[in-house]
Amino acid sequence: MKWRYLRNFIRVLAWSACSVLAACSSPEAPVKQQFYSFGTIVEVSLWNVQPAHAEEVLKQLQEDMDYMHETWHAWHNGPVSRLNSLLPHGKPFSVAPSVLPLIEQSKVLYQKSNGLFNPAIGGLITLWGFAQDEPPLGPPPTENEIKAFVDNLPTMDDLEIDGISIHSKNPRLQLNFGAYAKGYAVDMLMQRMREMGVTNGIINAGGDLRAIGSKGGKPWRIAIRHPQGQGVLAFVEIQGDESVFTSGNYERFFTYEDRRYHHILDPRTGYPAKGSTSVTVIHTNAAEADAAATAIFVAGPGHWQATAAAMGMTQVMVVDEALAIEMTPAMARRVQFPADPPPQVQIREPS
Amino acid sequence: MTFGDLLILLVSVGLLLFASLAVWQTNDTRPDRLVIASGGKIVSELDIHQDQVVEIDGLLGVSELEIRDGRARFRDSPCSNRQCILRGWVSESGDTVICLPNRISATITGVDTYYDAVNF
Repeated sequence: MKWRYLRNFIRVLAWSACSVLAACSSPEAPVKQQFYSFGTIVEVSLWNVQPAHAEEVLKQLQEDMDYMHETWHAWHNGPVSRLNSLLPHGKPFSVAPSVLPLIEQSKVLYQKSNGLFNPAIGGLITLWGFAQDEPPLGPPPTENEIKAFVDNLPTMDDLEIDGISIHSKNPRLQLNFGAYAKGYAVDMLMQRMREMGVTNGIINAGGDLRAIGSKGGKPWRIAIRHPQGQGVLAFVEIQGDESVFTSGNYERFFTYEDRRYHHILDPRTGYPAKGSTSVTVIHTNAAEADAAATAIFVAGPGHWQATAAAMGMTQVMVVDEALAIEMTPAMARRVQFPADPPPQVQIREPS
Repeated sequence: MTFGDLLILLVSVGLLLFASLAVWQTNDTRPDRLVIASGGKIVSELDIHQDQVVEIDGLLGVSELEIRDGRARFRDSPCSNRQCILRGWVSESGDTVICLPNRISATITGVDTYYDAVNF
């Protein structure tokens, strides 16, 4: 009888040891690599991928990202800059197939955002000096220049598409996908990563992040930067397939005569959007999250709920210029603040 | 099932739980090193607890990174808008400071990082 107990005990003990060893033998840290593309540092984290395969995946992702960057760039030579050089003539011409999906989806998102997401204001972005590789030094455009642009504001509705033929009804229309292309690219990269057999990983292009799977069963923990450079404002844990996008007025700006001008322009006024400091959204689709974060930023604190609802965003956090925080109930259930005491938060339903 | 069987089962399950907890609790997220990359390639790994200032070559020129009291920051950089310097100190494992124009990043790591990525 005693032998039976001992045998069973050894059997269970061996099983326990195997389980623990299996847990120990799983990789302890994701494979991480950075590369520079789309004007930012792109960091890719892969979990439980063999080193040789990880290298292959990372090389492919960088090639894809570089290709998309050049294809959709508003002022480097490529399909979009060619498009922009032909649009002022007002005559139909053939649009590159690599750009057409972005235009079509941008038209839909423009409508949903009630014009707050408007990639047709490339001319205004150029006027402010943000359509160049180096940050502008100023001065800002004159009031008259801005008024002239806004009085005849180009919109995505001015673009007429017939098959692969396109023309603009507004000669001032210039496309700039700066508030959308990086999100779209992150979606494309994630699709490529899945095709290459990766089921757990993060693609983080600055404020544009999409993650799939988990870290050995544990969720990915994503920090959201404090808008005033004081470490981490908040963090969320994500698992499965989710995108976390943050748009902030601290990303690109210039200071002229002691006044700061940031790069997120309000199409209604022609000036940098007022009220918000940063907007974070969590959504499945990265491209939609990118466009929505910009539109919600432009809508501003106290006014963003309708834009969020129209664009299908249920998890939104808005930080205003005084660092007061507003967020949706769905976001409040997930977000955690490392600061003690945590900041005051106003809960607002998207409506 | 006899009392003996039950006792062995309970002891075994207890052992398993104890061993599993021991494995999961080895995650040490205390800051440990500062991993510095230039142009996406790692160029230096430093002890975050050893105060020092290091110069790193980037696309535009030399950036100065300072490590003090387990924290890190850009102290100087040849970029025009100085955003990297305005970012200030980072101290949590997984947090990063970046000078985009000079293409330099510095990430705090631990045995296990607290943050897997930073949205900025």
